[in-house]
Amino acid sequence: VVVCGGDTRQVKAWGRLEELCRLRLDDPARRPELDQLAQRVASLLDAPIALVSVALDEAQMFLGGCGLTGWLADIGGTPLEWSFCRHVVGSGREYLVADAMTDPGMRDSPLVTVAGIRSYAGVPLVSRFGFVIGALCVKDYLPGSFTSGALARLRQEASGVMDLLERDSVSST
Amino acid sequence: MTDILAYGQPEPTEETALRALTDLFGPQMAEATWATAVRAAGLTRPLHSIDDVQKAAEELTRLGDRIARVAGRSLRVRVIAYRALSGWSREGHPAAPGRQRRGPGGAGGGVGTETPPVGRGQG
Repeated sequence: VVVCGGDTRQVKAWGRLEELCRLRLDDPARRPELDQLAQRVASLLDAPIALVSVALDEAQMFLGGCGLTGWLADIGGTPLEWSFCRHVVGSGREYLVADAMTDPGMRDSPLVTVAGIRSYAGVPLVSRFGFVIGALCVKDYLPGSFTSGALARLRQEASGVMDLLERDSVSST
Repeated sequence: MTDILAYGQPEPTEETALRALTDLFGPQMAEATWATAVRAAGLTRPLHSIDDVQKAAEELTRLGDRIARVAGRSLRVRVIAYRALSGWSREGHPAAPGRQRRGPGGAGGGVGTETPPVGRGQG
């Protein structure tokens, strides 16, 4: 896995951004499948929101998802500094938040202070060339922690997301 | 620049767009890339409104350089998010760090819920 360190410059690493291009993430044809996958994940993990989120250089973009409502559903992504996803991409590891109100990395994010997200579990989406492009995640308006079994399912589903993205991607850079 | 200060969210401007491009391409190429996008949008620099920044962002997403298109998508998301948050703020919703809601807007949001953490997701 090509881990981008915690700072923003690493998230902007050229190779990772090239990988986003190779994966043709703006292809709208994938949306229904990714939405369906997100619905399955939300159901499996008993969470109201599930998202396939990709970290661009300065924003996260939702490739698919379920459960978002209101203005958050309309915008299709958020500035990167609001996102939980950036912690997954920055570390290359799972990121778990049991209560975002007390999480130093997230408590000031509008996702928490305005949208009311309280808990989060996200696992890395890793491309076949080893780049962490984003996260498959679940969010809840209630605080709480996710079980190890739930995380295992999330990892499994993340692999399915990458299979789908790689299936239709440009075969080489 | 207009900030939604209570949310700590600065308005996307030509300056912030250029800064983001500079992080990716360096100052000279960033300047050239932005100038191309602005021209393609039929605009003249300097840009003075968020509408114009959004138009330039849309053009960035169509430019030939693949990384520039990623940057364009980023900028577009940032503009749309800023507008959404501005709208929320204008509707009279106070920014309240520490505020807790059960849902993201709409009727019956259940403001002020304080719920202890619970374990979930046995699936």
